Amino acid sequence: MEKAGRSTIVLLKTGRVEIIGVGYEGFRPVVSDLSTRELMFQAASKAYDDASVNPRRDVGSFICCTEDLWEGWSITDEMVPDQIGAAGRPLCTIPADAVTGLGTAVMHILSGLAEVVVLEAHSKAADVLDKNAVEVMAQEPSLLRPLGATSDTLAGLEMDAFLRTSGFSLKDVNRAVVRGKASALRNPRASYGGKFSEADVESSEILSSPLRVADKAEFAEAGIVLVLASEAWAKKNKRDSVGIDGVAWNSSLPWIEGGEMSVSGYAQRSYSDAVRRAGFKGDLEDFDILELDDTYSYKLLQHLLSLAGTKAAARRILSGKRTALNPSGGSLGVGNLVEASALHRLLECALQLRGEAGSIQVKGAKKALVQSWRGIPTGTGGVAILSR
Amino acid sequence: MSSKIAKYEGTEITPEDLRRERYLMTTYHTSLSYAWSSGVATGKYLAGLKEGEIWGRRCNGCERTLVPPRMYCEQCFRATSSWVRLEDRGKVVTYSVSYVNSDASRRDQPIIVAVIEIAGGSPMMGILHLLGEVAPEKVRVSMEVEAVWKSQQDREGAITDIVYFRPRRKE
Repeated sequence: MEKAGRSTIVLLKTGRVEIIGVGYEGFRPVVSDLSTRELMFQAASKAYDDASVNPRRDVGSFICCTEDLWEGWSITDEMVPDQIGAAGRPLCTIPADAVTGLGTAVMHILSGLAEVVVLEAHSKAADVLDKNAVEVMAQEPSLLRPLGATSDTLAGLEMDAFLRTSGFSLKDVNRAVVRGKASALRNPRASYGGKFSEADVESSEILSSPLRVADKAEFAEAGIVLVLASEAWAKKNKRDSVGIDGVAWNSSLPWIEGGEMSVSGYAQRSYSDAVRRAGFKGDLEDFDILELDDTYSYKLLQHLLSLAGTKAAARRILSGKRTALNPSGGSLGVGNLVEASALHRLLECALQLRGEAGSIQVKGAKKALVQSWRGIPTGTGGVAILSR
Repeated sequence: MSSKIAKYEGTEITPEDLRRERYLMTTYHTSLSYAWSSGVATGKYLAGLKEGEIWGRRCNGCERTLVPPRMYCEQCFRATSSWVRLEDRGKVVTYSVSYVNSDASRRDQPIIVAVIEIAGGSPMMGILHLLGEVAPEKVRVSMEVEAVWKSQQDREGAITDIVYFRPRRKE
């Protein structure tokens, strides 16, 4: 059992931070007609229009969540300002998921550095011809990489252990895929919706036992931008908004180095810290919406179990009677947006809480939780709690 | 301060040690390959080069003509408005006589790399390219230059469809 300290926690001492605008473009397997920069420009233009802000005048800080190896060029910082209105303005890139980016934005606002902050992430995954080569570069070079295991191999190993130790069965995992694909059919941002049966999942090609092709989210491309502001700024300027009650992120040992496999320490600790900061006294079942990382099907169940605390509570949520679990279709239905995956989950929750989620709208949604994971072989992720 | 340290504690590993593999070494080779979407602006720009043409984009906000073209103006943060065909000539803004290759090895013969302000584009709006048919000591800032294109059948829609810029010849 690993021991770990408290998550990096953002203390919202001087009021909430609000999401005052959202914008996106793409959400297709391949956005072949736009360059990365043009994709970002389109998403940013829509977000600024939604927030009624002028990025050249109103925004104090810009944050892009991006990873050089997925971009295909080094020091991506120099490649992102112009197309989001940040030329000659304060901008930083961070190689982390967007929940960490959201925490950074919150700190920028609550520290007084800026009143309005832009958070951007994008995926141009189709530009990366050998994604496996990029993923393998994340493995430890001396002891792990020489063995030739891919991310899918490592996922297969963890999935096998999860099924033996968690109490969840292969049938539960198959159902997670069926659920995600079905929900995605109604989401206009989803690229991989479909009417799948459990038999379809079981008959899909084996990647690395027990992991099958259907258990893995396929890649997609999109640009997403959120505009954030202090609560005071949003009120003063009369902006409609969604509140960020708490953000936390955490790292744990990857399971291959001794971490647990039935639950995720990073998810557990991020959740407990985010909940404490939000002053939320209820259970996971008291959230109206959960958007949890499901880059692999079994990870959805692992993350759910980590947050719910017990298998019984996780099963109640899976029953769908009270809390909507991944109404967007998750990554299994929408697609793996790489570094934009967490920002997609935040976008879906913001739209839901604004009542603008269209055919996937959860009626009366007031409180939502986003949980992120940075992918194999990491044990890094975060949690954000949103409300309206 | 570190200059005063003659020898660090511990066992020093020399380049010779590494060459002779006296220590356990792990070497990893990877192949990272990308096919970046050119997008609207760069796509049109490259297609133009294949035809022996240089295209820019006009911003109606700041009234600049951007070359290489972009679908957005970074100063105004608005979509650029129209395509503008530019001349395949310009003037040298800055240049460097380079004796190093991209892998840091030494060149026997230098290349002259320059930023060229394209005629018809806005001031200080230039593209980076090579200079040719000119001795390094003859290059001057503000020198007028013109594009030397590959033959039509050899052009492929790439920045290298312009072989280099040379001093402009009088008509």
